[in-house]
Amino acid sequence: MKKRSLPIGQIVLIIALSALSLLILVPFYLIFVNSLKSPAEASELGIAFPSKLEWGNYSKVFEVANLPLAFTNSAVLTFSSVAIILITAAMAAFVMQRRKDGLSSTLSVLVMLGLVVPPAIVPLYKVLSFFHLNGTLLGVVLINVATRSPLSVFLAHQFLKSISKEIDEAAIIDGCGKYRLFFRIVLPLMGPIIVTLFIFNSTFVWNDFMYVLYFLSSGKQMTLPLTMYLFTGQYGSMWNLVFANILIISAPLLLIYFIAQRFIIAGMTAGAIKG
Amino acid sequence: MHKLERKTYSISFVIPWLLIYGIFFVLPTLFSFYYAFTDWNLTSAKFSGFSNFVEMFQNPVFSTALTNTAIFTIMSIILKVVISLALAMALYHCIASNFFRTIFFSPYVLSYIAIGVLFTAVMHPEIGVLNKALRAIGLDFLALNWLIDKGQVIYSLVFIDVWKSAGFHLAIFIAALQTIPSDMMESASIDGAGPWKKFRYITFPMLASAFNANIIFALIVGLTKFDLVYVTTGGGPGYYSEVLKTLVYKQFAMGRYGLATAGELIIFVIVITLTVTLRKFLDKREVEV
Repeated sequence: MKKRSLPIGQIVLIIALSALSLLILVPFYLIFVNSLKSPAEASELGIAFPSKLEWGNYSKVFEVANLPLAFTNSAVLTFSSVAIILITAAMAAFVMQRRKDGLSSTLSVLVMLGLVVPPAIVPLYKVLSFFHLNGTLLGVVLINVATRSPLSVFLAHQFLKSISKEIDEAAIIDGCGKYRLFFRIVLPLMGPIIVTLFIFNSTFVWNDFMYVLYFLSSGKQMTLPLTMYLFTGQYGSMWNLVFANILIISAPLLLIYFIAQRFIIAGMTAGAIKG
Repeated sequence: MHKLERKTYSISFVIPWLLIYGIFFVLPTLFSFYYAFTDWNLTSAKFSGFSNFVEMFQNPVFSTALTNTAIFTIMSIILKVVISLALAMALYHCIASNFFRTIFFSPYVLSYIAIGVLFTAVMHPEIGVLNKALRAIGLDFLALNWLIDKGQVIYSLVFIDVWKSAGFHLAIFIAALQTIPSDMMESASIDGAGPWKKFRYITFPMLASAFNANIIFALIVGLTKFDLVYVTTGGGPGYYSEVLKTLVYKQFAMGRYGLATAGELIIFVIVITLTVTLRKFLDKREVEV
């Protein structure tokens, strides 16, 4: 049992924490009310409620910023990157954890380097050009996989310690092949860690601005963060539309967050504690 | 069994990851040791010795960027750790701790682009909510020109980053606090230890690894900060909020790839040196406390 302070202490604590919460909640509220104002009212950047609700702001932003295309691109980029990270990291971690030899220790050195070394982005331009991947979603997918996967390999490796090697041995003796062993027996047992990796990788890829700015800065490959950036540059004085845009790109994440916050917090902090 | 093991855990499982990681992470890193010493631009890449580094170190914007990166990193580490620890202690004793943790963590899932644009509105000097609130409670002297004042802007960016990430560091501290056995605290109370003694001799040492994780994480994030600065101020006004990563990007965007690679190599050396040094220091302390 945790020791609880006196009720009066609890009340003071809750009031103080609620006051601090306003620092987070007021900016959120600001996005919401201003996204529904007329251009003139929104330009005051205030917290007053709009005199008339301009729901049309949202559809206007959708059209002007070409959000359907950006949503599609962001979704394709995120799901392909995360899917490739999950499967390649789980497979690599499996061999890395099960073998106790030179290969395993080489891999763990590579993974450790990947956790600390900042990626060399400019020379990637050379590499992408070589494969004719400059300005393509696939290029950015592969960059995301390469730069973000070491943490996933590391965490999957930690998790695999809890899955007994005896399971593998029993399966092999029963005549199970190595791929069947991994995909049918080990991978399903990795469910919890896969969920964790899915959560933090997809949040980071979805929100990524840097790689898309470097390698997708033009044309049909716009992702949501990039569209938002260009939109603000163009329509910066139309604060109602800018706020509507912030709301549209942030709302899905916030909604998922408030529904599954327990998993998300656990997932995202697991990525940091072990790193 | 050994041979069977090698067959079962075959290298074919590793190859997909190794290929992608090797080509898109290891290879460019190795490349940077060469291209940093060339005058690589849109058309050619000729070896040019140390000229990129000489140009970099002589550029006054570089020293501004270096200073700003240092300020940003040190300030953000201190503020993130102190604020999130204080909040974690408060939440640990609060019956509504899950509720508040959910709120404090929520900005962390937002993109920097959304947060950057939001804060240009919040920090507007005349009509922004922040200054209006400060004036309303009589703290007029604190109502600063947040993102416009050249001496103030880098600290305002620190503030925004802390706003985004404090809840994240808080969650790490809370996870560590929950691992402290409660009978340890109870027996300390029975032995007559007050709140301060319990914090100093039980909580604080038990939090050592969470401290280290938070510090190292904030260090790496601080040294390589890009998105927030780029979208909020673009390094401005002038170059007063330029950091190393935004400087590198600007040179890349101008097609000065060799110079930009040299900039990245400098960041690489700084990150590795500081991370390894700090980690050694923190690990030693962890054993002592």
